[in-house]
Amino acid sequence: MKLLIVEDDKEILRMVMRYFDAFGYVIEKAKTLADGRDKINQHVYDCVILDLNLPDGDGISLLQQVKSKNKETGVIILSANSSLETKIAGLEIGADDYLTKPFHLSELNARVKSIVRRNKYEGSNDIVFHEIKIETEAQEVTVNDKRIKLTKKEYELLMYLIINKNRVLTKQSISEHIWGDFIDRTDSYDFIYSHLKNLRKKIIEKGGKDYIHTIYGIGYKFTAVSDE
Amino acid sequence: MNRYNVITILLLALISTFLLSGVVYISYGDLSATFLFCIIALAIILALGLIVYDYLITARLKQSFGRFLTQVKQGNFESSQSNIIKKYDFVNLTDIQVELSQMVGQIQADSKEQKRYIENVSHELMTPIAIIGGKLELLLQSPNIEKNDFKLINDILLKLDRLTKVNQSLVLLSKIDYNHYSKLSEVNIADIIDETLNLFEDQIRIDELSIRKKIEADFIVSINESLAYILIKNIIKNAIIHNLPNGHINIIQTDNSLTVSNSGKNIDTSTDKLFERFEVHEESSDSIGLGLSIIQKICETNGIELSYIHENGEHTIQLTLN
Repeated sequence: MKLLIVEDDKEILRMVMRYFDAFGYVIEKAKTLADGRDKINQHVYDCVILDLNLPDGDGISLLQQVKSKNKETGVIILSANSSLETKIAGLEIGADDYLTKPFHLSELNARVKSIVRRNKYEGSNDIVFHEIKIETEAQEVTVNDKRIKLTKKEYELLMYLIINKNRVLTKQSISEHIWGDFIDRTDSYDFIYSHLKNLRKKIIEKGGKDYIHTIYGIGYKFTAVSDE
Repeated sequence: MNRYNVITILLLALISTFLLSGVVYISYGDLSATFLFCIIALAIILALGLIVYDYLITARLKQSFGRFLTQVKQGNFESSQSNIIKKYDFVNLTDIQVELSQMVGQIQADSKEQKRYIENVSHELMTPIAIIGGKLELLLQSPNIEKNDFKLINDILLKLDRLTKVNQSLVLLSKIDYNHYSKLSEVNIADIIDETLNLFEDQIRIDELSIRKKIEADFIVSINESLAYILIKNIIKNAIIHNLPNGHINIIQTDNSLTVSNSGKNIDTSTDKLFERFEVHEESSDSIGLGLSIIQKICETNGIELSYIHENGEHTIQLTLN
């Protein structure tokens, strides 16, 4: 997967690149509008992460350039502005998604993956992790080729965990992913626990392994490697 | 116009008629009908003139003062000082106006400055918060972290989260003040209520809250959509998180008012105090204490009447839409 991140803050640039590195994505950076324009002209990306406030201008023109060059390239707007209006405006001008600062890196990853999957016309959209297979179009999950029935939240949880596999995920980021940022987080931690318990049970019932590891005091990690 | 003014003028006219008649009688020793008629006519004209004059002056004063008051209320002094003072040169009023307008102008400038400051600070903080959060998330992935360190990082993340929320809420409050949310549309409140209840379904289920809802399928209100969401979500969220296990929530619409009542703990805090910013009632609460301020601010700026009462463990919030 090939990504471009256009962002003038070098710290944000650095941390996004570092998080994505671990997943083996090819990721390029641009710190200015001009730089971004050049890169988009020269390469084809699966997804562009775009901060609209750039030192040499508004990132919107870049968005139009991306979309006119290749419709399959997804665009996620990254902004410090959280109002719904800005969000709607961003999506109206053709962005695929919109993420507000501060954001969880795991959330950005989930959004990027989801857009790339959505915009890709060819090839399989299935996500496979050992014996677990998620058919994203039908929203169906099989374990050892046996179908398991998940609730919407269990499905979303499983997707989030697998997309961010081998990473420690905080309860906050999981809660925000499932319920949005409105619900009080500490309340939702118990819910995460109970949904995960059900999910675990359903996977194990069909002979799947338990990949959901609890990381004490912070959250969860979906991994085939056992820590202890 | 003051009715005492009219009586005074009429009395004056009557007295002057008598006096003039007396003077004429003494001077000429005779008071013919013609003379008397002239005197009375003169007195009537005089009285009428005085009444009209008084009326005009009062009207002008009133108008000028009324306009001035309106401006004080609206806090709009930009164009006022020059033209009104030139038109109506009533010394005292002008003095008051100048003083007041300067005062109000200063207050306005200060409060504007203050809001802008809060917004700028909050906005500027978002990027560093994003960086701290991101770096902590990266740190979590390090293989060398001890078990106990996760707890430490989590504590930092929780505080960072709170910082983010306070910031976002302050920016929101300031944006409402700035009329950022002025675009109105026809919003179905019933839909927003359903959506919000869905969002909190886990909490409602676990706390075993019973929800009674009596709302028309189309409860359409002309309001800014974002604000409608924020308002309804905040109200329902409050009703849920300040509830008791096995408690209840009633959401009832009557004509153009919405009443949300819920069971909850008895609280001693006065209603006024509850609406103050950062007033957090429960000691262990994660709430940042801006929810009610936000509800109040939205109601205030959208002409929605807001009332809140709590008695005998029943909390009731009512919105009346105009």
